[in-house]
Amino acid sequence: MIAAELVTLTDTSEGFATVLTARGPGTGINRMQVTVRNEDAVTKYGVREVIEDFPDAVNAADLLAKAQARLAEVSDPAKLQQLTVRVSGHTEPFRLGQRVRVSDGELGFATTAQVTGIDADESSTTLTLGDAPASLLDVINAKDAEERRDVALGLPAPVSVQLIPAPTGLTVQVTLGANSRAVGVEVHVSPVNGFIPDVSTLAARGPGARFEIEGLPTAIRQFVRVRAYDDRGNFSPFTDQISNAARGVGTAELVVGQIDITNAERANAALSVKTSAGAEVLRLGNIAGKAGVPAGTQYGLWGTAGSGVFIEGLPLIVHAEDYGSNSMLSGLVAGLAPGTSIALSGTGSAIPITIPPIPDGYRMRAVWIGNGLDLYLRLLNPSEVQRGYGVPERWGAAIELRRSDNTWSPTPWSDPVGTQYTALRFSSGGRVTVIKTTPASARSPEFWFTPQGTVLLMFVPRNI
Amino acid sequence: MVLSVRILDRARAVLAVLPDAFDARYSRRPLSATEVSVSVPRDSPGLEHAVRGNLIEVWRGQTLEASGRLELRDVSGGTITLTAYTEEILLKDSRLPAAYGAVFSGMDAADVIRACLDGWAVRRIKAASEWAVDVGKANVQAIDAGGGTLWLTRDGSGKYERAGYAYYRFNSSDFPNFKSWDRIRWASDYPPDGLVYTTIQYRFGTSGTWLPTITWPSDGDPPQTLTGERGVLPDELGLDLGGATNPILEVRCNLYSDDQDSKEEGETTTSGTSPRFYALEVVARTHGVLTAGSIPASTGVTMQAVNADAVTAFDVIRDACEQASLDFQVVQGQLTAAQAFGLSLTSVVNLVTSEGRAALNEPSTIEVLTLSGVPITFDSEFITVEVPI
Repeated sequence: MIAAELVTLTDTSEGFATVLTARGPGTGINRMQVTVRNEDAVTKYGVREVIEDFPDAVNAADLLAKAQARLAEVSDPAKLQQLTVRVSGHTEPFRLGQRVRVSDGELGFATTAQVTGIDADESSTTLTLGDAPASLLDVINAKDAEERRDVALGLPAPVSVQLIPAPTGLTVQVTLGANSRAVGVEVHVSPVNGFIPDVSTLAARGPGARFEIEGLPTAIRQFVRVRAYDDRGNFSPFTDQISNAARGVGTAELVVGQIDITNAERANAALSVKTSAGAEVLRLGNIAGKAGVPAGTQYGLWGTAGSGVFIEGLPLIVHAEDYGSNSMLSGLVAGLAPGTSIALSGTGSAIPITIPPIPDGYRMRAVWIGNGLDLYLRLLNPSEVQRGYGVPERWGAAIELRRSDNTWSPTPWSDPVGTQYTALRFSSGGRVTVIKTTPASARSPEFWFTPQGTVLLMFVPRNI
Repeated sequence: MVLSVRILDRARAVLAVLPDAFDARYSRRPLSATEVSVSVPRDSPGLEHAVRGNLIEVWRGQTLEASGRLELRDVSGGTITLTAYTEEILLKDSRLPAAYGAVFSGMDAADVIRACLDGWAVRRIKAASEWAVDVGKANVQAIDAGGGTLWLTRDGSGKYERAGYAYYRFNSSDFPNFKSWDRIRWASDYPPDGLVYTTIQYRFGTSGTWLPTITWPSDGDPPQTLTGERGVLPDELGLDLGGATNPILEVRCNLYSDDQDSKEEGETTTSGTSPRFYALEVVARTHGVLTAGSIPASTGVTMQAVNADAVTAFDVIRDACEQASLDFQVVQGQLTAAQAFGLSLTSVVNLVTSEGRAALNEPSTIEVLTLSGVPITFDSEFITVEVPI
């Protein structure tokens, strides 16, 4: 180890080139010419073109070889740096062409170089060194850059980020940590879940805590990550992503004029959705006076048929009630042959209907009445009851319900939802076919017609 | 005022701002790229971007004082001194083709300046191995003589064929940063009173009619139909392609001979004469890195005797400005040409260089630097003195 002092560390671009046009013997265009490029150097340093003549080139291949050799020399930055050191206390003289090792702990480089110049006096020798393998200034600066990146890791990420939907955009509110040295933040936005921020995702940059990101598509979730930076160009890590979607106003889906958003007390609703023809199909807020809504001031959600709210999980309640009547018809018919049809007619007495109390929040929505009625045939000779000797082919419209206003409803399914009934009655209109009689003659079957039925009442939540 | 240095990449995107700059020095000279130097602490953040080829800007407060391309770095202790050349240096990266001066001759100086903002790229066919890489040919051969030439072939009786051709393909993608086709130039035999002829034709694409379609009879007996362009100053002006941007250009070299019988002294088994193509060159324009700022529409000065033989765009623009009595400068990527830059300061600044009474013709607000030979120093930078007339 020899003590030395760094006198000069300089690099220059003089003579540096990344593109070289080599010209062979001749003049004007009547000479060989080839242009060679060091693409790596062009990418890093740009196009720096020089023209050099090679009058001794004998053919195109020779000219190309000479051009490439020359370009390799002039496009190597390491060959353009000047490194001189002053050496003291070295007893053996240095020689031109010797390679020496040079290290500088302060600057942070160690390299080998060739002695290309010697200036010696009584006390010291100054060596001019060349042919170092790399540009030392690039090495030094790259090392410093790593250190600065290490320092940057100490810059914390913002502690809080909030997203507030805005019309076709998002408002990003950023909170930096207490005593943060950050002077600004970068906001990165992407529709890709789990995106990696880069230049293409940078949406806003600068000081402040509130950033308006505009021009985002509505109803598409955007993911946001934020990082801080300080006045030295260092960046903090990115925050974890959070997401939200821009809301829309004035878009094709939500047309101004067909949507009215205001206070709930407003007489014509807080939110009213209308068709393009102006017909209101959905209302939120004050729904007093709308069809089917109880009298008085009512708040809630109302919709016309075909709209409405469909809530998963609310139960329907079905109440079943069996009813039967006394025999409506009876008779004695002698000598019935198998296959004989007997027409039946008549109406039974009204039977009171018991409707259970309607649960809170529900209303009666549907009434279902079974139309299968049993028929009992009774044979008098011998005197026994047999069932099944005859079945009704069709009973037809045979059941009526009496409304609370004492009128009979032959078509209760057409009544308004919530209609209350008080009684049920049966009427005839069908036929009975006797399938079998035993013996075939001398029998005098007497039959009774005794209808029975079931009424189902369905209660649904009021908001359906 | 705070001095800072900005480092920009070649696309002029700011890479770093070095806030603690000091010792800024620069000079400006007419028609020159001059030196700008500034020092920064060696631990300045962003210093790794200070590499050759990048640009630096020296700002004093909010004012850009000087800018240029970084050319030299010098480390001394804890300081690195960055030395750049003002942005005019960028014009030295652009080289003109050989013997290109005739193209500019007769043009207005302002047009020449604008024309030099784009670059050039050249493909030349000269060596025999290059002539051999044709797309199609008939009755021609490449000979490795005179550095490489294209000749007619001989027929079975040893006579040169009467006509032949070879054509070559040039792809725009082979010209880095291609912008448009500029011109075709060539060097060939075409003696005005001879019996041999050469012409050039071209087309954009790989099929179609060869242009130009000019035809005329030769002077020989029997005459043959010659096709194509003979050209004036073909190795300097050549054929102007009008800035076409087609991806493919094909160039056809036609060779004709009306001499099949003459013999050189001692020539026994062969006869006749062949014309020769010595070189063929296609010049393309490439996208430049600078844009045109304020440049006069015309200067009224026609360029004469332009020296443009493989010189740089800087050299040509300097010549053009000298002929038109203009100066030029490049700032933040824009080239501006004018007789003077900036506003006149005569109404606001008076530089008093000696003691005595300054004769003022009219009331004026001036900056007084000395009073009775003693430099004035005040807390503020300027003082306004009412001078009675």
